[in-house]
Amino acid sequence: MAIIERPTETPDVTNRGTRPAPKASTNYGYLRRPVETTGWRSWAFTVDHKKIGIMYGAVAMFFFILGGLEAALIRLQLAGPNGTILSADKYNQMFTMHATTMVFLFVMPMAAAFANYFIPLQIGARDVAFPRLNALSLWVFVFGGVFLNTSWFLGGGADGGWFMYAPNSSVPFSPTNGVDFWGLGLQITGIASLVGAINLIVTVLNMRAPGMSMMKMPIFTWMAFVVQMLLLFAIPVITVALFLLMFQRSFGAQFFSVEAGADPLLWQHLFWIFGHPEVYILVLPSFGIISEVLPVFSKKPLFGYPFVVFSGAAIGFVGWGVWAHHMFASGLGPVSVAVFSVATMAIAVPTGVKIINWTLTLWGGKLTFTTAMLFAVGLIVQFTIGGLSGVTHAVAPSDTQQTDTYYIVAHFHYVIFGGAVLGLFSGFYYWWPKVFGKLLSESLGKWNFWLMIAGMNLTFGPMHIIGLQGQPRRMYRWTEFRAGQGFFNLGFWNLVATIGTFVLGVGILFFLVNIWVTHRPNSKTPPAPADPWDARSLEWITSSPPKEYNFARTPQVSALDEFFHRKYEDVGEGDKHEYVQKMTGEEVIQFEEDNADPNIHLPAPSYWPMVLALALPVMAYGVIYNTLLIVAGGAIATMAMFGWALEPADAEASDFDPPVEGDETSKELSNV
Amino acid sequence: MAVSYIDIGPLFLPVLLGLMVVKFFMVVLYFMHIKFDNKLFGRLFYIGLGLAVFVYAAALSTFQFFAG
Amino acid sequence: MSDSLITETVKDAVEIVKDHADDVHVHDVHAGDDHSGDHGGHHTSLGLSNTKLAMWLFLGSECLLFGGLISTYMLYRNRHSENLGPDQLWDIPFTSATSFVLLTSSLTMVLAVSAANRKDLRNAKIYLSVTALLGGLFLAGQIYEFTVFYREGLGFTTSLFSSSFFTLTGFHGVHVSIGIIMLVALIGMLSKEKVSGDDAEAVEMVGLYWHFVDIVWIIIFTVIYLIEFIK
Repeated sequence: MAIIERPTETPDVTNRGTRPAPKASTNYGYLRRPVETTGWRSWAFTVDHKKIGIMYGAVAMFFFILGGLEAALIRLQLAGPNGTILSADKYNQMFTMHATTMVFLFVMPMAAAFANYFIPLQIGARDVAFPRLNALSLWVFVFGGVFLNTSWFLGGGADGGWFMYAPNSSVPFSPTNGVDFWGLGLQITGIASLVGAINLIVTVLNMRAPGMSMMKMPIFTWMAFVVQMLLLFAIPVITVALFLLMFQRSFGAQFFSVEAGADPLLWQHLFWIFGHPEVYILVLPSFGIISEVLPVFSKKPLFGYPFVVFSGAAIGFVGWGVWAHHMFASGLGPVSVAVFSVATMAIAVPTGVKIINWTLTLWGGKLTFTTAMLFAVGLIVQFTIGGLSGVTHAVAPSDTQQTDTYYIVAHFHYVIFGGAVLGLFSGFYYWWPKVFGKLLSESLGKWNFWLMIAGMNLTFGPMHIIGLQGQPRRMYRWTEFRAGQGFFNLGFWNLVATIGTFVLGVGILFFLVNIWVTHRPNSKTPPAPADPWDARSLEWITSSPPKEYNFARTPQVSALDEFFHRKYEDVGEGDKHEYVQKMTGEEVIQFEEDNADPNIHLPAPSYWPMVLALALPVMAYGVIYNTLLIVAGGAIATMAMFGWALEPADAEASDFDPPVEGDETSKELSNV
Repeated sequence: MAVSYIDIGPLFLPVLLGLMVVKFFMVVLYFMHIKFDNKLFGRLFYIGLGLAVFVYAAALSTFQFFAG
Repeated sequence: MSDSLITETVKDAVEIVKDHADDVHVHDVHAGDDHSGDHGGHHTSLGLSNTKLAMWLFLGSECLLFGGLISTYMLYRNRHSENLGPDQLWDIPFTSATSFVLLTSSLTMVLAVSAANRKDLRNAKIYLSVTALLGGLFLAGQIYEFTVFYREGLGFTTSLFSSSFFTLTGFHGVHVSIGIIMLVALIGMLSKEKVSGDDAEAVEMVGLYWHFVDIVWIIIFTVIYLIEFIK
């Protein structure tokens, strides 16, 4: 842990005597600690949760575009009869990698980006509980994602579908290294998620500002907290599954060899015990985001905050008891099917509670349809459609009919795109001024929203029809001969879906253009006001973008929607509430800055998280190619762990260039 | 040690599992201080333990594992 | 003798918990001018240690890891060839002995934690060394056992039973090895006085991990080894 000393009018006398005199850094040999505040080093070795959040977001956005291009290729292949864009083999790789990229390399890390950036800000903390572990999560995720995608250049991607059912994913059926890359890559990104989960749970439990009880936490933090709990317990399950698969493929173990008596359902159980909580891991962060956005643009508090909290927690718990509904067609037996069918219907209840709460938040509010609000309302509508088709899967006999058809594809895209992705976009527009200090263009934003909504309904809507018509989920081409007639002609609806994909793509392009227009070097966009939306929660009680230390002073919290209650006073009598503004947001922030804390301590940057993260793909390549590489990776990891453990709390004075004097108060890492 | 020499027949399994649970919780409660420490530590651990027992018992029972 | 040992252990445990709670409280008071501690001079809202919370969360997560491996083994324990199954291979007296060694190491770990808490670094180091040695002895026993099984024809790839047995016990063995590495590192840090009296928490953290590895073995020994003797 290092120190940022704010330059104070009255120097802190107590600190003067104790500061050691500058001496050569003993920790890195001739290397200095990476204390730069500008340039690439200030990003690569940072432990600041905000920079880490931004990097998470940028990398996730890159993978979103990559996964989108893979989707475009799939849809082009299916646009007409006898598609020739992709071979059957390449098609298998494409849909596997599309799903893997979108789930593990886009939605999860993008949610992690929001969680990283906003949890400390929303609970009034200066950073997360373990800043270096936070940096480790980021780099492990980045290297894991890159590792996974290098399979394209080393013999082809994985080709078993995102749930990679064994024994179909063992060597005889998938002889290239694609599945090895997939398994090891997910193992690596799983470590990132697990470390991140522990870190953020401790942060939420233990780093809250004074006065912020659990039930005064902003709702996004609550939902992100539930997600981290799910990750904490779900990741080890897929870790087991992936280890078994790795031992099967690389070391000749027998777990999935049916000829030796293996049970093919073992993988399915392990995968879906992880896989169903994973669904809520994907969607709950977005639920949290729109639960922040809807009240702000309705000028009303969130309707039934405790219900939204507890229904979120209930989804988290019940989500553990429904996994086998993914396996209704696998011959589980009638008792199991009945039990899981009922449990699945039950989980629709807390989800319905949330939708009712959102609707009642809107009810009677003064609605402002900004782009963020449009995306939030879009989520309610689109997710409800996905939720309803989901209930049709809970009914086992109807599910048997729908299993492995495009109807399933339609369902989970409405849930994940209509739920998770629209929520993330709502978050982009809502928090952009907070993170980057500038408002995105609203007019481009509206193009962005309407094209995405039109595109997603054109793409995924027809899939309900072609699915119920019987088009299998992973068929790589279809023939005119079997396409059917009239309204239910598969060819027509496949073409519509493909056109929809490109509409969707143009919509997302508008988002990228929006970023460019706002941030290009000679952009005319003025800096955003400090409180552009008249927001309610704690992250707005600081400048935008926040300083490295987040808050000028640690906020004292006395209410849910703290920021709102500082701006507005209740002048109503008895049960009648009537709020009048007593301060503007700017004044609240100014007041905080006028009463700033004299000393603020922030963690010092470190090389070790990146070095340790780098060891993992080295070991993973070793599993595939050469055992010596495993040893090399292990050596790097051991070195990094010892370096990590022995790294002192403070950056030494000699690490700075020029070295700071022992009792200077200018030992800053940022422009305070 | 004496117990292992007495043939207790059908009681063997329940006694064995009972002793396992007792030993398990003795270590958790006393050696790991859960009995004296803040309740939150125990709760977090027991959530994981409970989930593990629940999901894996459920999964095994779909394999008819407990049917004999 | 055993009675007094138990009361002593309990007393120590209460003491340690109280002490560490106080430590956290002390950090709390100094928040703002204290440069040490994992929380960067930040107060903690529950008054609990961040590291300890993280360790318990990690152990909760580990339950699902070992649960999965144990379930896999349970599912496959009867799927082997005629004469290479558990009832032909298990050497219960031997495994009982190694299990006893591991359980004893838990006891010495408790003694190490309480010594560290009394700031008695000399005894802490001794007990940590004994713990590491006993852990090493257990590992040696496991390696010997694996070798015997291998000589009798049970390789990693022989059957579903063998794959899942070696995977489960292997994972446990890796956990023990990591524990030993942490113990050795801890002894090193104590020798260089990197861990001062107030930070005896580091010893307690390694202790928690070590005990967890121990309780996992309690389950493995019962449901993998002893249960085969149900007639």
